[in-house]
Amino acid sequence: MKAVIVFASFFLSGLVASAQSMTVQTQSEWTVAGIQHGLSVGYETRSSWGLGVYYQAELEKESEDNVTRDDYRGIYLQAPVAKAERLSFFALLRAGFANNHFVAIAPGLETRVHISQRLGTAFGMGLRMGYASVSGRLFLKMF
Amino acid sequence: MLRVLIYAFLMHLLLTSCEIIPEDAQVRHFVIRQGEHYSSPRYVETLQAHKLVFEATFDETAVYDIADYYQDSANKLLGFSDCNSEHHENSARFGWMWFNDRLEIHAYCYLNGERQTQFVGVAALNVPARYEIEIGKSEYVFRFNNNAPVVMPRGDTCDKGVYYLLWPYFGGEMPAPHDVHVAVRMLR
Repeated sequence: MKAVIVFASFFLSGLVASAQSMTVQTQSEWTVAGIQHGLSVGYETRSSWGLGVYYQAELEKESEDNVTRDDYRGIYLQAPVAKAERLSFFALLRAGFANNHFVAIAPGLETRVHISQRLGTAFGMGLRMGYASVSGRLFLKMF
Repeated sequence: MLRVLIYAFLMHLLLTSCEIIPEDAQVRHFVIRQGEHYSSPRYVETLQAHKLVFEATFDETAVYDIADYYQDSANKLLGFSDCNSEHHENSARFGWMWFNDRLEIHAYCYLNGERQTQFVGVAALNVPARYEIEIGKSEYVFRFNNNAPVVMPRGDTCDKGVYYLLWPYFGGEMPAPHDVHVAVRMLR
């Protein structure tokens, strides 16, 4: 356990110390259970590795067939896969709690389009609740 | 810049034109092969809400005739292990058996390692039936179609953690006497 904490501390401190920017994102995710909207905040290093927190929730039940109104919060880890001039591709791993009690892990892939130096849009595909999900984001690099 | 904006616009079009997965595509067809206990395909998933709700449809392959000693042992349909528990410690599932010439549905739970079952209702073959398990503070509530809910006690578990889903399983001790098919549609 100690080794894990020490390793995580080294990793996190290194990530924060070399952080190039702080990123704020609004996001919407189409899951098999409905659409969730949310926000995430994270650090991003010069090499585009990222670590942050997110919260997203269904704002309303889409239909009476909807059994639950879900939310999902946790931390995300972003790893760069490829980069072009204005396009970047990432692998994304989200881990957290669904509905405050249930551990949920969601891997995914994301494509970012940089509209300007600070502003951009992204779309992604992931795996949520055993089915594919699609997400869209707007991101802003704060500083 | 223009090219990027066009690309972004196209991506948004792509996203907003996505269709909801049709109901048929959400149905999972499980089969338990003759001589086996576990169903295929195998899924690794966790529960992510306080309710597990699904529709399941059995066909004629749910009818079997095995030695009387085993005839009344429950097969498992769907359920979950409770918070960070192994499923023989704390779990809640629907069980089923072909017994008395009908397809009986049971609540099938482990409570601190002790098995508890209770009759819930009778399912018709080739007709989708609605199943629901709701997690309460100290109990599970089993609902099956419009039958009266059945309340089962819940063991001493944590509150936050992993609740892994449990999929169709034949037995008991006896493996499937022939291929058994069941179609499941998860309701979210």
